[in-house]
Amino acid sequence: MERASTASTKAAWLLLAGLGAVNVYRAATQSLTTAEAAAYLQFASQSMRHVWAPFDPHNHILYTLLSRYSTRILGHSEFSLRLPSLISGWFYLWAVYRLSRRAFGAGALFLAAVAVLSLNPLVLDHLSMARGYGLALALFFWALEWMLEYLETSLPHGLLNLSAVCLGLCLAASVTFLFPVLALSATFLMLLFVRRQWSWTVVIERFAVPGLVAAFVFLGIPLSRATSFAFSAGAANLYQSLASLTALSFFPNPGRGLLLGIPVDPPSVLRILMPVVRVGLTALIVGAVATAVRVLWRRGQGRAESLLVLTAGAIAFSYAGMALAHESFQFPYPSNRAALYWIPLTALAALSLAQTLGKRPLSAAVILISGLAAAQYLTQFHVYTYGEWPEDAGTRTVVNVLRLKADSRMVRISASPELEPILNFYRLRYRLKNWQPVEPTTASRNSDYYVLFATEAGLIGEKHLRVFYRDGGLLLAD
Amino acid sequence: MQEILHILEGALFTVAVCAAAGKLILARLRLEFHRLEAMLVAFVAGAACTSFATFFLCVTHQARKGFFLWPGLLLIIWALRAPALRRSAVPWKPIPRAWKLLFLVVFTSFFIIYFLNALAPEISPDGSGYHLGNVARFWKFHGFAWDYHNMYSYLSQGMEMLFLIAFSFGKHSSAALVHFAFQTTLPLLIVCYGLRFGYPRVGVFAAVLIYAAPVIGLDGSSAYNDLTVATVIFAVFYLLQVWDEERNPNLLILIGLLSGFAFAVKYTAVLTLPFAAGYVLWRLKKDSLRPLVMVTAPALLLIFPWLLRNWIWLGNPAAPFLNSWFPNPYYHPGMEQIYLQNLKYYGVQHGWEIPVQLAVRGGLVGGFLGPVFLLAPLALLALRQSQGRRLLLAAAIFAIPAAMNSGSRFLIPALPFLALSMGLACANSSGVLAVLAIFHAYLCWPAHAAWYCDDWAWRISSVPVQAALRKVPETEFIENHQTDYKLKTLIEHTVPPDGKIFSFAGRPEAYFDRTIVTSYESTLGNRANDALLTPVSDPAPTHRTRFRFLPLRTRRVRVVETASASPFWTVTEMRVFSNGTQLPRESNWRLSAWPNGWEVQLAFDNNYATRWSTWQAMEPHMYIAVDFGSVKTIDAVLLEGVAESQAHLQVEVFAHGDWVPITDTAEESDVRAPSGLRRAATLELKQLGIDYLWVNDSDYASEDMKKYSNSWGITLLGESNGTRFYRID
Repeated sequence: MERASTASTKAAWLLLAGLGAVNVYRAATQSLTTAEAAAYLQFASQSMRHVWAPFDPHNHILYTLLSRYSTRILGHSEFSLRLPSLISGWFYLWAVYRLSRRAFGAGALFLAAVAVLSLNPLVLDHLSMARGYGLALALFFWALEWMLEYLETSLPHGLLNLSAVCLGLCLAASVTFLFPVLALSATFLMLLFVRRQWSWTVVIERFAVPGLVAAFVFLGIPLSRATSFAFSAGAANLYQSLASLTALSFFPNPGRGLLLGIPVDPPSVLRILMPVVRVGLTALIVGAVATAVRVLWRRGQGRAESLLVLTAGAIAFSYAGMALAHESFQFPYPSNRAALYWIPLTALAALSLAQTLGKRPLSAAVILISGLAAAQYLTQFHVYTYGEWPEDAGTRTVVNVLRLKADSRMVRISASPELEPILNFYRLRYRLKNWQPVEPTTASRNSDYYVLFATEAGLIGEKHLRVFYRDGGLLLAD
Repeated sequence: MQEILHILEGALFTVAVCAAAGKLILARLRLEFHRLEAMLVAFVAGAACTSFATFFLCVTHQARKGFFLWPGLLLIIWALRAPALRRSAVPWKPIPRAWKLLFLVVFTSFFIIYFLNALAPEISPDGSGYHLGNVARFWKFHGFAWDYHNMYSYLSQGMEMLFLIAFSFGKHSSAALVHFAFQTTLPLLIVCYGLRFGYPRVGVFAAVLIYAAPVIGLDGSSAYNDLTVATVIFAVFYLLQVWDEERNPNLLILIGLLSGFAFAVKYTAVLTLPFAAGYVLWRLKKDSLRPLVMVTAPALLLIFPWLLRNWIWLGNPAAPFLNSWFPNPYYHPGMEQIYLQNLKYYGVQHGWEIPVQLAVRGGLVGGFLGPVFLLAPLALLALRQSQGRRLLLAAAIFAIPAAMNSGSRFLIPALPFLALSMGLACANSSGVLAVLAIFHAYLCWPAHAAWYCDDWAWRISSVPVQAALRKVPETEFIENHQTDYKLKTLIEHTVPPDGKIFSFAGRPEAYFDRTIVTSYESTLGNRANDALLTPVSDPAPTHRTRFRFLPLRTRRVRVVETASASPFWTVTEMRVFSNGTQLPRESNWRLSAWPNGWEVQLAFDNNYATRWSTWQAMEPHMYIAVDFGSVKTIDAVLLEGVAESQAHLQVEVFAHGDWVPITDTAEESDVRAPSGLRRAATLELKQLGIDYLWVNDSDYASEDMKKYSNSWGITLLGESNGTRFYRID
C-alpha cells in the first residue's frame, strides 16, 4: 500500500480520529444497556465456571474474558467494561482506513468507503458497546486486510497465520460470525487456488490449523456442551433480517424521524425504502458475484478485484450456508446486531464492484448512494443512546436520583426485568451496600422503590405507587 | 513421620531394584542409549524382570520381606558396581529454551500434586478394591491364595507383583507410589522420543498433554496399572524405532521382554506382542525367523506363567474371560457376558457423546483426558510423515481395547501415540503447539478442571497435603473418602478370620482382613446373589411346566432345551413322577446338566431359593438329566421355576443306546409362591459358608431386609452412611 497524503486521506484521518474520540466519550458517558449489564453480571463477573459453561449466544467469550480483566484492573465502570470494545473499535477504524486505501486508492471512492464503513449507526454503536460484535468485526476486517496483503505478496506466511488467527478469534468474540468467517475462508482459499498461490502444506499448517486452534481455545469447551436451544433465536427469513438492519442503520432512534435532515415518519419511509433496498441489494449481489466469477476466470490480480472476490464470495457462501442450515436444521437467520457484518460486507462489495468495473457512471452512482447513506447516518448521529436500547439511556440518571433519595437507608428496589441487570450493575459500580440486590417487579413483591418503563404505567395504579421522577421512557416510583 | 519413611522406603526400594535389574540387563545386552533414555528404559526393563521373579516367590509362597530385601540389596550393589552403560553416539536435537522452561514448569507443578496424592492413603475404587486387595492377600499368605476365588484374582498381576514388594515395606501408599513412578517415566520417555527422532518441541508438547491429562493424573497416583501398561507399550514402540535405525539384534530381546511384561501387567496389552512381532517382520522384509524368535521367546517367557497358573488353577488359561471356551466352576460365562456388556457403555446414551465425555465431561466414562483432545482428528494430518503413520497405527491398535470398555482409562495406552501425532500434525503451525500445551496444562490443573467437567468425573480434586504427611490420621482420611471403612473395626471384631461376608457391591477389600464375596465376582457370589434376590424378585419361582406321557421304563431321563434365545434357562426344581407320585430322590441318582453341570444339584435340593441355570444364552442341546441308577417306571416330569416363554423344552429318555424324544407338550400352570423363601435364602448362604451380609441402601433387597429382618433370620450389627451389616442367625 503506497503512502500518500491527499485531501481525501486527510479527511479520512480526521473523520476516523473524530469517531475514535467520540467512541471514547460514548463509552465513558452513556448509561449501560440491558444487554451489556446482563452479559457482565451473568458471565464476566462470575467465576470461570460460567465462562466455560455450555454455550450461550449471549456469552461472547473473548469479550467476557477481556472485560473480566479490564474491570478487575480498572474497577467497575461503564468505561472499564467497554474498554476492550473501544480498543477493538479503534482497530476497526484503522482496518477500514487500510482496506479502503488498499482497494480504492485515495480518491472519492476511498472517502466514500471510509464514510459508509465507519458512520453506520449500528456499526458505530458496537465500536464502544460492551459486547463482542465490535471486537468480532474488527478481527474480521483485519483478517480481510491481511488476506489482501498476502494475495499481493504471497509472503510472508505469517500473514496467513495472522488472518487465520483473527478469524478464529472473531468467532470467539461472536459465534454469529460463523457463516461469514467460513465463507470468507472458503473464498480466500479458492482465490489462492485459482491464482496458483495454493500449497496444501501452507494452507493447512499456516491457515487451517491456526484458525481452528484459535477458535477452539475459546469455543471448544462451551460448544462441546451446547444444546440446540442455544441456536434458536433470530429471524424467520432473510427479509426480516434485512428489514432489521435497514431500520437500525437509517432510523436507529425512532424519536429522530429525519431523512437527510427532513422530518419524516420513519415507519412510512421504511415501508417505501425496503422494496428499493431489497431490489438494489439483490442486483448488487448478483452483479458482484457475476463480476467476481469473471475476475476469477481471468485470474484478475488487482486489489479491488481481490476485494470484490472476497466480499462477494463471503456474501454468497454465507447466504448459501445460512439457507442450508435454515432448511436442514431450522437455524434462524441472524437479525439486528447479530447480522452486523452484512453492512460492511455489502458496502465493500458495492464499492469494489464499482472500482473493478471502472465505469464512471457506476462509480458516480455508488459514490452518490454512499454519500447519501453517510449523510443519513450523520443525521442520526448522537451520543446519548445505543440504537437498539434507546429506553436504557436514562438509567444512570435514574440510579443517581435513587442514590440521593435512598441516602444511606437500607432499601429494597424492584425494576422491570429488562432494567434489573442495569441497576444491579450500578449497585456494584457505586458500591451501594444499602441497596438489597435489585429484583424484577412482580405483583406480589413489595419494595421501597420501583424503576419502570413508561409503558408499565398500569402497575402504578395497581400498586398505588407515587411517581416522583421521569426520564424519557423511565419512571421512578415509591 | 516414621510412617512416611516406610512408605517412601518401600517405593524407592522397589524402583531401585527395578532400575538396578534393568541396568544389568542393558549392560548384558550391550545396548547403547543416552543417559536419560538409559535410566528410563532400564527402569521399565528391570520392572519386567522383578515382577517375573516375584511371581515365582508367590507360587512357592515365599513372598516375604526378607526375600525381597536381601536379594534386592545385592542386586542394587551389583548394579552400582557394574561399569557404566555405553553411551549412544547419535546426537540429540536440543530442546529450545522456552520449551524447556515450559516443560519444567508444567512437569514440576503436576509432579508435586501427583506425588502428594500418591503419598496420601489409597482411596481409589479399584486400588483399594481389588488391586491392593489381591496384594494384601498375597502378603497375608506369602503367595497366591489358591482357595480364594474372585474374577479379579484371575487377571494377570504383573504390576501387583511390584506392588507386593513395596507393600511389604510401606503398605498401600507405597504401592501407589510405584505406579506413580511409571506415571513419571512416561512423559520423560516421550520427551526422549522427541529428542532422539528430531522433534524436541513435539516431544515436549506430547509429554505435557499426557502428564497433565486429568484421568492420567488420578490413575497414575493411585494403585492402578494403566500407566505401567502405557509406559511399557510406549517403550516397546520406542525401542522398535531405535531398532529400526540401529538394527541391533539385542534390542529385539528387550522388546520381547517388554511385550511380555505388558501382557503380564494387564490383559488389554495382549496386542503388544503381535504389534512388535509384526513390526519387526514388516521392517525386515525377509524370511528369517530368527528376529521373530528373539522377540517372541522372551515375551512368552513372561506371558506363559500367568496363563499356566490359571490353566492349572482354574482350567481356563484366559480366566476370567473365555469361560464358554474353557468352562469352569469358578466363573459363569453368562456373568462374564453381563460384566463385559456393562463395561462397554457406562451409561452413555449415544455414541456421539463419547468424544465429549472422554475429552471434557468425564462423568459417564470414569474420567476425562482434557479438552485439547477434542482436536485429536488433527492427528490425521500426521499421516503425511512416516513417523506420523507409525504413531497413528500404534494409536489405532492400542485403542482397540477401548472399544470393549468405554472407560477413559482404557484409552491411556493409545494416548502417547495420539499426542505425538497431534504434535507432528501441528509442528509447523507457528505457535500452535505452545498455545495448546499451555492451554491444556491450564485447563487440566485440578482447580480449573471443575470449571467444565461433570461434578462427579473421576479426577484429582484436591491436594491432600495433611493426609499425605500423615498429619491427618490415615483412618480419618480413608473414612472421609471410603465410607465403608467406618465398619472396619466392627467387621474385624465380629467376623472370625476365616468368615465370609456377602456384598452385592464391591468393597475396599484391601482394608479388610476378611473374605468378602461380591455378587458378580465369582460363582459363589452369583449363587448367593441369586438366592437373596429370589424372595424379592418378580416373577417369583411359581411357574410349573409339567410333561405327561404314557408310563415307560427307563434308567435315564432328561429335559432338553431346543430353542435359541438370549435369556438363561433356569430350573428351580425338577421332579420326576410315576403314577402320579413323585419319585423320591435317592443317593444313587446321578445328576447331570449341560452347560454348568457343576450346579445341577440346585435343581434337586427342594430349596425354592436356589436354582440351576445355564448361565449362558439358551441354545439347542442344553439339558438337565437324571440317571436313576436302575430302571424306573415314569410318566411325568415337572419343572418348577420362573416362566421363560422363549424356551422350548422336550423330554427325552435313554433307550437302546440313544436318547429318544418322548414329548414336547407341556402343561403350564402357576402356583402361589412358597412361604419361607427369605429364610431359605439365608440358610443357603450359610450352607455356602457365608454368615454375614453387607448391604447398601441402594441394593435391591435392602428395603425388604430392613422391614422383615426376622423373616430373613438376620440381625443388624451395625450401619454407617447408607450401608448395613447383618449377621445371618
